[in-house]
Amino acid sequence: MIIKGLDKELEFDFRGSVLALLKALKLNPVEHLVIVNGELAHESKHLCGNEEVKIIRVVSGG
Amino acid sequence: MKCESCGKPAVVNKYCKTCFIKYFEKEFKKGLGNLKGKSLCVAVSGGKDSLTTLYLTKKFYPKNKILALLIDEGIKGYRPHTIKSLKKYAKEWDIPYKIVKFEKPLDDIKGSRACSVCGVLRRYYLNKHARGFDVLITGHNLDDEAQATLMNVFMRYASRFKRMTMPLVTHKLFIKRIKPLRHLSEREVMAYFILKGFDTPMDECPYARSSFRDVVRTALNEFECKHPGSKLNIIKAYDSLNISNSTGHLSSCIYCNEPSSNEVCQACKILRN
Repeated sequence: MIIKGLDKELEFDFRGSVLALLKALKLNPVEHLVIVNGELAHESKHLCGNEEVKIIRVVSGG
Repeated sequence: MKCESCGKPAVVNKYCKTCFIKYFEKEFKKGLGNLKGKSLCVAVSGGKDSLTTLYLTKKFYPKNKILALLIDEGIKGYRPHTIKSLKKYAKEWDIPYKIVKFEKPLDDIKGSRACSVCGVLRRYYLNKHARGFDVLITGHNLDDEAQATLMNVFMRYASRFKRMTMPLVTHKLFIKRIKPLRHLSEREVMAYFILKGFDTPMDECPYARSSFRDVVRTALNEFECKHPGSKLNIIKAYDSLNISNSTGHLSSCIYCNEPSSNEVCQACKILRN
């Protein structure tokens, strides 16, 4: 799967939940939201590996 | 996971999109309180928190006098992006706005304490330019408040700790402040912002990563991940202290006449240095 939204675009072979994806990427789920195929996805959503994924860091501003 | 309220697929926390938006707006309205007939000044940066605050304030009080007030600190390559967003949404939501620039851009005066300097000056300008309105509404969220509480404890800033929700001393020149996002996390605000289809640059202030707040933010988020609910518990513990303000005397700054506990206020100390 291609993961966008981080500093660089990432190609990652992954199947599992959104939460497991964040953990695999060593990202704190408290600080990130995940968009799957254009829709906000719950941490429990299962990813098959062929989705369009965008990770958004929720921390912004100062 | 299914939505706890309606059984549809959940998207955030324990809710589906519709139920999350309902929950979020209900919490915001509770934080806003009854502002019927009041004139409202909303502090905006053009980021997700303040735009959400502006949108919902207008939604719940469409007939009130509302002004969006943006303080431009003069940070190159950062603030101009969000000013564009404010202008776009102010027009779309039919809300007048005012932009006040720092007398000296932060880039020129920051020294080694950019965030402290910026904080003092932003509070100073907001209070000064919101004058004439009944209430100043800010977009501080749960994360901001929990971080500030811990920072004041770690740094032993007793007076700052006491005045986090209200000035220690009442003064006719201090505008009453309300923080309706105080019980909603930064993650929840971002989720609401996305679900409503809003958009704004999600840049981080170039000074943010070198601040003490960033250290506390990272540690607190790691703690929250392992112990969910910690941020809310910090705020609830603070609120249970029942810190009250007093009507003691507060003098005026000899240069700007703004309320100050010293002969020269903190803002003038910075600006005249």
